[in-house]
Amino acid sequence: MNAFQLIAMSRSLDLSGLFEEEDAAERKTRFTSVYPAKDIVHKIEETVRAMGFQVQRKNSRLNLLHIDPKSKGDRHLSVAAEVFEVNPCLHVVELRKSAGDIAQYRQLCIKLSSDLSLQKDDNMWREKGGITLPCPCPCP
Amino acid sequence: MVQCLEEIGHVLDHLLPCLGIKSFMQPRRLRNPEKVANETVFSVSEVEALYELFKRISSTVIDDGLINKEEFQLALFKTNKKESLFADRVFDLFDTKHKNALGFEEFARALSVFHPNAPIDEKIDFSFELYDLKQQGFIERQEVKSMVVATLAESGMNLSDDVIENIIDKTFEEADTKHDGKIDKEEWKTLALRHPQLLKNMSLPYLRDITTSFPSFVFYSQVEDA
Repeated sequence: MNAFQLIAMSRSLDLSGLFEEEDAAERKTRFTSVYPAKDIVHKIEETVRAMGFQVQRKNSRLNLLHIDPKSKGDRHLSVAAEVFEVNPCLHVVELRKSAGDIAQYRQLCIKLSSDLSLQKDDNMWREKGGITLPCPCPCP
Repeated sequence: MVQCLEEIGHVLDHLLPCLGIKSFMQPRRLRNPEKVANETVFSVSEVEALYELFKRISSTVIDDGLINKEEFQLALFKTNKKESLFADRVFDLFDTKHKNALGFEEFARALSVFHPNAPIDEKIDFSFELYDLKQQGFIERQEVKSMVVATLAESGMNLSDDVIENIIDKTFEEADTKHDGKIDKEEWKTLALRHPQLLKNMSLPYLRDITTSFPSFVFYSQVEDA
């Protein structure tokens, strides 16, 4: 990943705050994950489907939509998830709420970040839920 | 009917000062939105909508028709307590008259660069000046590191110094074609054209829908858009 790509993700450089009610910090969440990108995407899809979301994959982005049959169109929770590679062992997952209830969005973020952002342990192999992760590079 | 209201508006604007009633508030509508529309990518009705946003932001702390740094921060971050490397730099770039306060024209001209349809060269120039923290005409490695560290700190992401140095090394390897340890305007332009995602934060899709987000009421609109 290019340093400027990372910098461009900064909330302070996101002028959309001028048009939004909520603080960017509330609408966008970022965390790191040591899982390979494919596993991250798979895990997100699996988790959100179990929570009742519909998933649409678009290039390196996942569009997550949770339709609440009881509420009107504009209350549906719509979230975009994107995975960026820092290096082969480290990825950044960014979640962005584009519409819907902030509390529901926060719940989703907590679930996904607790599932995906693991602490590195001493040996180079990590296991969670049956996925074994070899580390192909000398990870920090 | 519409014309009638406009004329009443004109009359009041002239009458109130004569009655000794000074308006401490900014004008309810722009005198000359066409001028701003001509200098930016916005249409006249978009300029009027932008003015509604401007009025709202510029009156949050002091109702003086200008956006000061505190009001700018409040609008962006919903808090005036946030110290930010970038917020200062963004404000400075908007503040072309260097008055520490933004008038509507400066506000509109700067936001014009962020319109999805604005020329990419404008976005490239603006972002270069943004990242050139010390305004030396080039982006130094140390400036890049400060910005990366600041970005990581705000979301609580922990990357080791080695990983950070590695990311910056790779970036300079690609960007610094003259191998002088700095990224100049030309090198930045080449990099940005090759990786358009670098300019992602230079476009605000909200600006496309601004007339629906900030309706300025019909009877203030002076011109019918074709």
